[in-house]
Amino acid sequence: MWRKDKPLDVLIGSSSQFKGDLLTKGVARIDGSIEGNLQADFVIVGESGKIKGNVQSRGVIVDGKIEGNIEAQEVTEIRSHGEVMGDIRTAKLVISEGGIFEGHSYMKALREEERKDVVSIEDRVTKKKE
Amino acid sequence: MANQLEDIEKNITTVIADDLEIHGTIKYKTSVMIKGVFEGEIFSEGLLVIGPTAKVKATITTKNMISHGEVTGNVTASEQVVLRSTSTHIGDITTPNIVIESGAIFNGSCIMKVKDFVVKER
Repeated sequence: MWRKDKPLDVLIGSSSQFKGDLLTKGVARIDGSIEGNLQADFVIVGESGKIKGNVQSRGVIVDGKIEGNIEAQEVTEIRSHGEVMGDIRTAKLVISEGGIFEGHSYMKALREEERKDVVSIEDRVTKKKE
Repeated sequence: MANQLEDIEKNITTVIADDLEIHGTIKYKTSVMIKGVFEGEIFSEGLLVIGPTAKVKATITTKNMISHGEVTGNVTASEQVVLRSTSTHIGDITTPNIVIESGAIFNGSCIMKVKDFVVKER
């Protein structure tokens, strides 16, 4: 689980914009806007943060906006200012009062076949290198 | 959490007990708590509480819903839906305000951006 003392690997500040796929093995905090897919160990979307794309992570905390699908192995949390437009696949879903979620929630563990369909960003990056 | 449930229980007019099984349609205006098994349809303009022991298979139209138990079916709530930590929900939820506690299981779609939430009787 993410702890406050764990350093951030990626920080997109509130006045920043990023276009493209972002891949990190650490914690990503998004206060600005991202257009593209995001894969990280843990994702925190601040109140001013916006993501247009799919998010893959162990845990996701949303206090901003996500337009895209979320796949989180452990936990997805939508805080009171959070807004998610898209499907959520997760083990644990928490929505605080005021949080908005439009989409489908899948909380069963992913079946093997489904797993294969999900091409992770990591795979795509390594394929390009080859 | 137990206290919350007790507080709600005190104000509830109708309780469907643990060992009661009902099939059919429930219509009411104030509040009902289901602790047993129910299959059918629920129309209400008030509060619906699903107890931890309850198993409900129904199409639900209500103002507020608090679930601690198992619900299968689509829910339309004009005010709020609360899924407590022990609850399991399979089916779609349409409501302007939703709270899901850690531990609750929700499989289905959630629709929140609907302008008119009017409780309609079919």
